[in-house]
Amino acid sequence: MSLIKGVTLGQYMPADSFIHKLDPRCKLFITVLSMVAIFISDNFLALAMWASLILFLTKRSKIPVRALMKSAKPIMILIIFTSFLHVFFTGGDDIIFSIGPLKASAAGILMAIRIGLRLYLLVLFTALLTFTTSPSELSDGLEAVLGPLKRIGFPAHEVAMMMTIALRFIPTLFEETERIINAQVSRGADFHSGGLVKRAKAYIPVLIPLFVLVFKRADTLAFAMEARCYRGGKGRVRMHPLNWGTTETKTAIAFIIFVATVIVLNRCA
Amino acid sequence: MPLTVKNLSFTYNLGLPTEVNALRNISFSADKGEILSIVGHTGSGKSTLALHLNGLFIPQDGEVIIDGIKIDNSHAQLRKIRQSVGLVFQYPEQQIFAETVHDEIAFGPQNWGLTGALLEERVLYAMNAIGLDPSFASANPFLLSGGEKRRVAIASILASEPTYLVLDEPTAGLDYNGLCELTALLKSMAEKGICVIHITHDLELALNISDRILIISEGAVTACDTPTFISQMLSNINVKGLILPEILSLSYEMKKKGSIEYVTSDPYKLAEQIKAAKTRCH
Ligand SMILES: Nc1ncnc2c1ncn2[C@@H]1O[C@H](COP(=O)(O)OP(=O)(O)OP(=O)(O)O)[C@@H](O)[C@H]1O
Ligand SMILES: [Mg+2]
Repeated sequence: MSLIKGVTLGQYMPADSFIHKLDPRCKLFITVLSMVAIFISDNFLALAMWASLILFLTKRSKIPVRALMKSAKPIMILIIFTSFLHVFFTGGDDIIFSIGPLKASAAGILMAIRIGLRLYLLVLFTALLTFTTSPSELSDGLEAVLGPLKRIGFPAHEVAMMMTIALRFIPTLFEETERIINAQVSRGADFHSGGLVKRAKAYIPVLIPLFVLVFKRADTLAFAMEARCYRGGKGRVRMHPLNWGTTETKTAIAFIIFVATVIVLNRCA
Repeated sequence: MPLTVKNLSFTYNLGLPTEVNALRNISFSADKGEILSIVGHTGSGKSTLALHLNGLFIPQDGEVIIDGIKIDNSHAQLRKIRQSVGLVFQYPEQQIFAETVHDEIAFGPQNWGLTGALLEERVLYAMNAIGLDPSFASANPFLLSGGEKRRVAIASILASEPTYLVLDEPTAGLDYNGLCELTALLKSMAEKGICVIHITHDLELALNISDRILIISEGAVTACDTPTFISQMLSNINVKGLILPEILSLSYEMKKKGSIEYVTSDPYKLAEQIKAAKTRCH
C-alpha cells in the first residue's frame, strides 16, 4: 500500500515558469538527447553534473524537489534489483564478499552504483518533462516530432494520442489501485504476511477488479471520444499552435553545449 | 462514546504544490444503535473521513478512538479495528472479484479466519439481511444487475458482522426501489445495535432517516445535531452545496409569514401545524 501512496510519476504540475512555457518540441528534444547522454555517462563526475542540472531545472520550474524524488518511487524496486544483479555478475578479481556461489567484486559494486544512479537520473529527467508539460502539449509536441514519419505511413497522430492517454491515465490507475486495495483491506485482505506465493495470491482480489475497471474505462473513453467526433489526426487543428521562438533556440543550444562538455569530461576523466 | 473522533486533521500531498487540506479539526462521536449521517458538498472531505474510521488512513493530527482503541500504526490493532468497523466504499460493486456470489461474500469472514459451518452461517445471514435470495449463491456476480451487485458488495461487508458500519454514498446510482430497500436495511442494522455511519450529500434523505446529522463543509464541521435541530438551524446559515428539501423551504416561508410555529421537515408535523393554525383562525 505504501508503495503507491503519493506517487507523482506522470503527473502534470502547473506553475508559472520559463520551463513550463517552453515549446514542447524543445523539451522533447532535450529529454531525448539527455536520455542518450545520461546512458553513455559512466564516470561519477558526469553523473554529478547531470544531477546538478536536474536540480537546477527543478528549481527553475518551481517544482518542489520532494515531488521530483517521489516520482521515482514506483520504479525504485526495479532500479535496486538491476543494481543488485550488477554487483554479482560484473566479474572482476578483487572479491569483497561472497554469498554462496555469488561473488561481489569491487568493480561490480562500483558498476552497480553507476547503473543505479544512471537509471535514477533517467527517471527523474523524464518525470521533469511530464511535471512541466501538460498532456495536450506533450501530445502536440510528439505529433510534430514524429510528423515526418507520416510520409512513410507511420500513424504519428495516433501514436502521440495513445502515448498521451497512457500518460494521462498513470495517476488515475494508481488511484484506482489504491482504492481497490483499500476496499479489500477493509474486508480483511492481508498483503503483508505469509510466503511469496500467499502474498502473490492475495493480489488476485485487487487485479481482477482493476482489469474489469480498466477495460470499462477504455471502452467509455473510446465512446466519449467518438461521440465528440474524434476520428484520428485528419483535418484536426490545434487549439494552441506550437511556437518555436528564440528562447527555444537559445535553450537548445545551451543544452547541446552542456551535453558536449559532459561527454568530453566523461571521456577525459 | 464507542466511536470518537477528536480534532482530526488531514492533508493530501503534504508539502507538494498539489497539497489539499481535506479535513480540518474534525470532532464528533457516534453511538451504537444510531444512524449518524455525514452530509457535505462534493469534495468536503467525507470520503477522507471514512477512510480514517477503519484505520486505512492513520491520523496525521488528532485522534480516532474506537471501542477505547486509539488508531495508530500497530498492525494487530488495525486488524481488530477493521474487523469491527465495516467500510462500504462508494460504488462498492467495483471491488467484486470472485466467481460466485457465495465466494464474494465469504471473502471477508474467511480473512478473519472463519471456516466450515460458521462461515456458511455468516454468508447466509448476510444474504438474508440484504434481501438476496439464497438461490443467488452460485450466480456469477459479474453478470448481475447494478443494484444486485451493490447488494452483494454490501452483504460481503455485513458477513463480517461489524459493530460499526460506515457507508460512503451507498445510494449513489440506485433507483427509488433500491433507495427504499437500502434505507430499510440501515434502519434494521441500527435496530440490531450496530452504529451506522451513513455518508451522503442528500440532505433530505439524511433528515428522514438519521438519528443525528453531522454537516461538514470544506473539511470542517459546521454542525452536529438531531434532524429537528438541523432543520431549524439551516434557516439561519447557508451551507455550501447543500440543496434544501422543498418541504423545509416551504416551512421556512410559512414560519416567516407567521402561519406556523416551528420549522420542520416532517410532512405530518407540518400538516398538523397548518391544521392547528386554521382552527385558531375560525
Ligand atoms: N488521493 C487524493 N489526492 C489528493 N487529493 C485528494 C485525494 N482524494 C481526495 N482529495 C481531495 O480532498 C478533498 C476531499 O475529498 P473527499 O473525496 O474526501 O471528498 P468527498 O466529500 O468524499 O467528495 P464526494 O462527495 O465527491 O465523494 C477534495 O478536495 C479532493 O480533491
Ligand atoms: Mg466521496
